[in-house]
Amino acid sequence: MTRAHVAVRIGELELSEGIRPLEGLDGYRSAALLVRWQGQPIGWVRIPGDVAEAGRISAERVREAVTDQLGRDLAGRLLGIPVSVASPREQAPAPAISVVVCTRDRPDQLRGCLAALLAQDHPSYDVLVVDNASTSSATARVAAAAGVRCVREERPGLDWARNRGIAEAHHDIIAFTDDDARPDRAWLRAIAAAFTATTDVMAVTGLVAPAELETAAQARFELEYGGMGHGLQRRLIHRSALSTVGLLWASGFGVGANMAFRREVFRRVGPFDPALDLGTPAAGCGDVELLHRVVAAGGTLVYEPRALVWHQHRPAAADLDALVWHNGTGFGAYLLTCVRNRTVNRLAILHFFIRQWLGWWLLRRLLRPAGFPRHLVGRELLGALVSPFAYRAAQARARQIAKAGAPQRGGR
Amino acid sequence: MATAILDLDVERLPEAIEGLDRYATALALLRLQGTPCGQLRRPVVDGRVDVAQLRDEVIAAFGWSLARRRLQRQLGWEAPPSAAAGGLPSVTVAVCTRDRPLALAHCLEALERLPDDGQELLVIDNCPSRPDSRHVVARHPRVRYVVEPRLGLDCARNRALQEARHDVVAFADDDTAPDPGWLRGLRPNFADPLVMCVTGLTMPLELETDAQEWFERYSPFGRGFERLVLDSSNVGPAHANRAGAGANMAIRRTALTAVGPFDEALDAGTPTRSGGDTDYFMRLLAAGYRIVYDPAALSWHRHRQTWADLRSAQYGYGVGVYAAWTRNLIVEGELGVLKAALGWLRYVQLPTLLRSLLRRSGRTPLDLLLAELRGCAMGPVAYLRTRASLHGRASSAV
Amino acid sequence: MTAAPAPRTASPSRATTTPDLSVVIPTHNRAASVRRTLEALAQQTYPAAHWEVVVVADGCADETVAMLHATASALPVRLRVHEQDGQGAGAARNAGAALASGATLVFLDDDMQPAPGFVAAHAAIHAGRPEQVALGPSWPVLPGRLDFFRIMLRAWWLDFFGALAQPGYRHTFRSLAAGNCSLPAAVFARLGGFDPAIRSSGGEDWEFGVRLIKADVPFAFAAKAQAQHHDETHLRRSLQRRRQEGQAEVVIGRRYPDLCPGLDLARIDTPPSRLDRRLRQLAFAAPATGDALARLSLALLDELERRRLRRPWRVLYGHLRDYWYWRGVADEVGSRAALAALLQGPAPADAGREIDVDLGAGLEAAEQRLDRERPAGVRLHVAGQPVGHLPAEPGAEPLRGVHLRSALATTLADRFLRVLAVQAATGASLSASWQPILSGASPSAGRQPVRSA
Repeated sequence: MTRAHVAVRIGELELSEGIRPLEGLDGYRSAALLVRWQGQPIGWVRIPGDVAEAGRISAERVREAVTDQLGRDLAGRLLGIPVSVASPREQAPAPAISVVVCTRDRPDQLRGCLAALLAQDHPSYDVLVVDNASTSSATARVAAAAGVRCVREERPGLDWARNRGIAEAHHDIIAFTDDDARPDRAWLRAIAAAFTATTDVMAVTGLVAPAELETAAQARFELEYGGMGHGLQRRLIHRSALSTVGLLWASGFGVGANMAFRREVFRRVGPFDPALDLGTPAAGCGDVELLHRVVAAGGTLVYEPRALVWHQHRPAAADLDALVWHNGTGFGAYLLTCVRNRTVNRLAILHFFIRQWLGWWLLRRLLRPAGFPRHLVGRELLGALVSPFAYRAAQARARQIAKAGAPQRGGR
Repeated sequence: MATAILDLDVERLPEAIEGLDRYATALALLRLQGTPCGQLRRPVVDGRVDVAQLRDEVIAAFGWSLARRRLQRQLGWEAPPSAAAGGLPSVTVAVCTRDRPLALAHCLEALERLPDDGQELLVIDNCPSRPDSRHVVARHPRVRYVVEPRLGLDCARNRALQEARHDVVAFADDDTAPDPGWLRGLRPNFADPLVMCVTGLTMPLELETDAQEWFERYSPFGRGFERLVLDSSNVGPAHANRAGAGANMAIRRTALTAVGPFDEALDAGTPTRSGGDTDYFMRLLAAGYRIVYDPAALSWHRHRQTWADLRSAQYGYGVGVYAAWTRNLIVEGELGVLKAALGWLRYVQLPTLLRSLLRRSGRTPLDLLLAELRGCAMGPVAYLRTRASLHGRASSAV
Repeated sequence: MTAAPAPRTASPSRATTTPDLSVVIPTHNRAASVRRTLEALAQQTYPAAHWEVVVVADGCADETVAMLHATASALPVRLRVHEQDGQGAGAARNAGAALASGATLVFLDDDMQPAPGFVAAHAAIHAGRPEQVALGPSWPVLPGRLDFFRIMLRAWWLDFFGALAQPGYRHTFRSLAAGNCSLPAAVFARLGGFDPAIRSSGGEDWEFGVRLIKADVPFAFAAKAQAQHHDETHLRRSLQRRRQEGQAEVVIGRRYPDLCPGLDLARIDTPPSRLDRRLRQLAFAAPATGDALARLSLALLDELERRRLRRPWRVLYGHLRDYWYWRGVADEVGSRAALAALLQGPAPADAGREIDVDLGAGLEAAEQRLDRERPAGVRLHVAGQPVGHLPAEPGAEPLRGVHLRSALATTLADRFLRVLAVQAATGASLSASWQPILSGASPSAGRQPVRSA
């Protein structure tokens, strides 16, 4: 584990293409490579910077690091049981996917995201940009320059934008990503495979890796808070295999920067809940709440780490403060939404709120920090306590916006 | 809710696992070329187990150990190496039974499926009250039938050791169904002349009732999937339980002369309920012999189905362990049992009890724990009483 | 070898042909034991006309010689008896070898009871094969109630032979247990036999073993040449022997300085515990005190055994053994300084050739290379990535193909699997001989019946 204030050079390595030396290490204290084999993420390899010569780590050293740190996992995967023959289902025609990117006033990052989206290795897909009430026309211009359809949603709020995206999307599978994310080339292909490989998959979420760890705030978020990733193991999430606690920890099911749904999901359980938007586009637990609803309704959700997205974490420390605060208020609002929707028994939710969230996640980390600074945990805790009020305010605002805006609801 | 039992070959995983609508989870035994190498639990969703997920789990949990095993196979490397060139001993399979004709029938059917390596099949009917077991055995002409009129599982075991015509006696409980590879898993371990006893892996035949689930979770017979060689240099005799269970064990006949017979004051049929195997393992270890636990010697056991039976079995287990320890303390002078008893109480029984009282998740039902503790308390008394009555019987017979 | 006064040999003229094989038995005051051995030899399956027995009574004051002469007529094979004054087991064996006329010499101790196939097995392993030394297993027979020591002794012997029996075991000079071994008489003569100057028990085996290894005579394990070893060693005797082993190692170290790193001598500066460090100091500096402590410890050992305290017993016994070993070393070498000088010694000779072998080219190819070149050490790699190193070991035989297999399956398995996996993942082209592990035995996944309750 690197210290929070030290820059880490992030890279990726696809083993089937051979091991090359790693360049560009000037100014970095260490390197972290996401190692994949035939697209499957195997693990992170950490190489201390002091083995670098002239800003470069030789291929032999990279190979040694891979052998030492991931050798066991690779041996288990390649030499443990026979590599499986592709099952007939994987040969099925790849389904068409609509990609929705909701954005507001971040044209530069949007440009990077769109470039990655246009380079996807998937036969049939289209891209839709939902301009969520940007103050300038830069967003529309970037979308036009990339040749991508752009729709403007006046009602401010990430969930309004997402619902608009659902309404406007053409295809049966709708994938979402953020404007500060850069999807991997095989992202859509992995999502399509996840939908077709198992029967009745309703939603697919994927791995979110940090695009860079240059500042202290980014490193802290990724390495000490947990970042946005949920591990490198594929998981099948279904209500019958989850306890109530597991069902409520829906933040472990996936994240909005990398998720995809079948259109009928929205018909069955409803659209994103706009009352969970808490003012800023980056905040809110609308994604978590929808994932929870999908699983609670009995749908199968697949967490597929092959569906990889690189996310640009916010560099400034102040942003981390804000993010942590909004995680507090947002998660609290999500729990209250669960109470309202009655997806889970109310008493269980209360129990969860006190024992799991307040106790295990917040207070325990407040008393025994383990890396993450206390003041940030305290901030999240405060947010948690304030969340009922924030929730009420957000509900009121949502009602207001709903009345004022066009009577357009998500779903067709 | 019930758990389905699956038996899978990791090199030939099925494309789909379906038809399990009755079950909520599945317990899969994993084998590599016939040898058990691990087990996994997977949820059953809509009567199906997702094979891709199962495969990922197998790789994550056992990939490395499978890779090692496959390397060793490719290199032709075997453990155990056969040190003695004298060849492997001949085996008599002995089933000690009492008034359980249906279970006995299942067991004998399983034994008939063993490949013929020249083994002898023997049934010891212990103090039968009805002739049903005799009739069951009559249907299997290859099986020899002997009646042991003195009540007690250890009496039956001793009779089996005397009646057997071959060098090794492999015991199978009447509620077990040995796997076809059972004997072939046991025999090679006897190549080492110091090995007097080999125990094997016991997996549940079914997990249909709550009682069976709890038995498997709380005190399973299995000791893992790695081959273990126990002798007094790495295991004190008081911890002989690590060797395995008498439901699946094979003993060299020369052990009768080396350490003596099973103690007839112990095990089923006597007030001490169980513990005859534990006591024997302790004596073998104390005499410097080796006990090998080999998961390749696989047997399937039908656990007690009702809760009352389970509670009674837990009680019997407590009584038996303490009775065996009492015997070893009194007769053999093994002071180590005191430390073992304290250790068991302090590090296992009390924490489990505490967890159960505090209603933590995954806790063991309180009544099972209390039954076991009551049994432990009664153990020494039960042993002394039985011993006294045996001596009384012996002296009155003189 | 000093000339004995008029060697008396009893040789009823039975065989007129030159025997293939001579069994040489040195003995010293163990009449009943030797008799048991001879009775077992009378039951051998190998045709009696083709072998003979030579018993050397080394300083026997009991009825051994008389018993031998009396038994000679009852044996189906020719029995020769040679008497000499007590010169030690090594000299006795040499005398027996000089008398023997067989092409193959089998050395058997007087507390061994060979199985009926013993002689046949030793004969078979040399028949038509190039020169080698054969080691036979001697299974300990310890009747009666066993105490802690004898339990440990039995396990020690079984583990010793168990290790020797493993295919791919790299033999060292310590593999030679002269109580049950055989070799061509020509080799024995060429190497000059045992060194009679080493009188400590166990030392003469090892010293001869060193010479065998240096002469590149291969060692083989003759699994069927079994004997039962009625080992009457008891605890105090074992400690005495440990002292003699200490002396023997100093002698070997002086004679063959390149072996020093492999001897326990070299571990003088790395005691396993503080107590062991003190014990070593005592052995050198104040042996009288040490000996007194040792005697007390023996009494303590008995007490521990009475109370069945196994672990403390083992620990204390281990310390005693350590103490007496270093006491023997001190006896022979004199002082710490002298020991240090011995260990530093002359510059080590060339440790032996080490070669590089690429496992990526296949296992068979690597094994053949080792069998051809017989290096002292080998560095293994797969396509340039290092896998491991089997170093040159002083006093161990040069490497062969079988050693590779056993190392890969055990000590090098971890690293080898990792490297193989990375090579396979990066698409390196590997020999077809690795295909089974790379792709799995079965060609495709199929429908498999699911076991239902």
